[in-house]
Amino acid sequence: VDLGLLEDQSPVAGDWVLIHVGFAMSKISEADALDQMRTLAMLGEAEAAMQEVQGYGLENEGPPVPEPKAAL
Amino acid sequence: MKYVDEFRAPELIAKAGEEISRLADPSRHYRIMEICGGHTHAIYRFGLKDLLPTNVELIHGPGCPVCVLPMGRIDDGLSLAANPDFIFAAFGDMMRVPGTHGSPLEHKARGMDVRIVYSPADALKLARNNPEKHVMFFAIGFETTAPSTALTLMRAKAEGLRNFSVFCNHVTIIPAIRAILDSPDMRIDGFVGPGHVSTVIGCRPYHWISTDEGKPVVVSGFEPLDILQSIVMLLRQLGRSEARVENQYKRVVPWEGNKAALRAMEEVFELRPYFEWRGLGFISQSALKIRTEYSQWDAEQRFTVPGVRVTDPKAAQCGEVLKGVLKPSQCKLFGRECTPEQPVGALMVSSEGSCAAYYNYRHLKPVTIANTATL
Repeated sequence: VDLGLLEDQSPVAGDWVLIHVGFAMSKISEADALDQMRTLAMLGEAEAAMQEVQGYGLENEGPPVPEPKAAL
Repeated sequence: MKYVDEFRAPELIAKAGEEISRLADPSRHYRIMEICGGHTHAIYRFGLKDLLPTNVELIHGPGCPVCVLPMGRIDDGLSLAANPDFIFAAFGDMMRVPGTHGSPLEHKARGMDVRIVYSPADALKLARNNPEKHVMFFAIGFETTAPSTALTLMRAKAEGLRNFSVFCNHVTIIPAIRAILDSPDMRIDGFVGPGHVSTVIGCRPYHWISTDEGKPVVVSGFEPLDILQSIVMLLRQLGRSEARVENQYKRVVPWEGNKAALRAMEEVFELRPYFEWRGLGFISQSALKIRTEYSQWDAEQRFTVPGVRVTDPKAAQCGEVLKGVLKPSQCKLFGRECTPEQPVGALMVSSEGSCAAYYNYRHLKPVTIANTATL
């Protein structure tokens, strides 16, 4: 993930972030991130989200919070 | 179809639906616009309209980047990429958008080197890996995506990478909202504000909508419960004759936005005097162009662009649907000549386009309050 747009929020390894088109956009609390992952799974969107993550070439870097659409 | 009991906190979904029915004054008709195409998609996908009383109407806004891009821009980009030394790189949702002579995918079938990228940074990698080719990234998107393009251009400049350029179609959301509010045939009572754009611009840029136009705005997340909660917040404000900007999506959206992202945009982009939007026409200061300091990486400054203007196919009513004047199914071509498999208009291409969302989910059993009552 490219962290270039988060320099003000000083992310460190282990932080959770919202990713859009390969760039981390916003830091998220761990509780919110895990809740989001559970919700994606419940809504049947986890697979699509992980496909997008694989598109970024991140599949070996742990589960970030995927953001399903590359748009608004 | 996903049923209510599969959603997060189904009891809260049911409560939100009941609260909306309680708050909606039966003597009023509410027209609430969700600005963002991601919200439009979620509303159809999860059948949220069926949880709303009939006098709470959702109007779909202009926040689908693929949908608002006029066909002439696609033609312009593809005409540059007709050069056999070019690689045309774009996000996947651009690939099936029709140009006058076919979509990027159809151009690929005819021999153009067209690549799908997940990130502008991938396009930059393509340029590094193909030094004999010129890689042109066809950039679309609102403020969510523009900072990533900006940072990619800053890196291209820092590296002195000469075989890379951006054909920039980035647009900004605020002027589009203003154009909708200025439109005489449009009456909106309140807005579900875009979630991901707001991670970048924050909530302050919406203040004029509340102060000058007297309309409430609630920046919203994308889950069913988020959207319903946002509608509750809007109806509460409307019931008290208030108009404020509220942030329902606090877990992701900081009130002040992302300053580093805004700095990157400021470094690389300036406002175009005007830009054409499909359906909304020319809107002043509504799009971004690449500053002259980055002209070496701006396809429009570096190469000769035809500057094509194409009117949409006459029978297609994309404009009216984009402005919320017509529902997708009221377009003459909907579901007949225009389908996701054979799209005539861009709103049928992107999953965030209201026509594609409506088409893909219209056969599904709607969620009803009755479903939730059995939980």
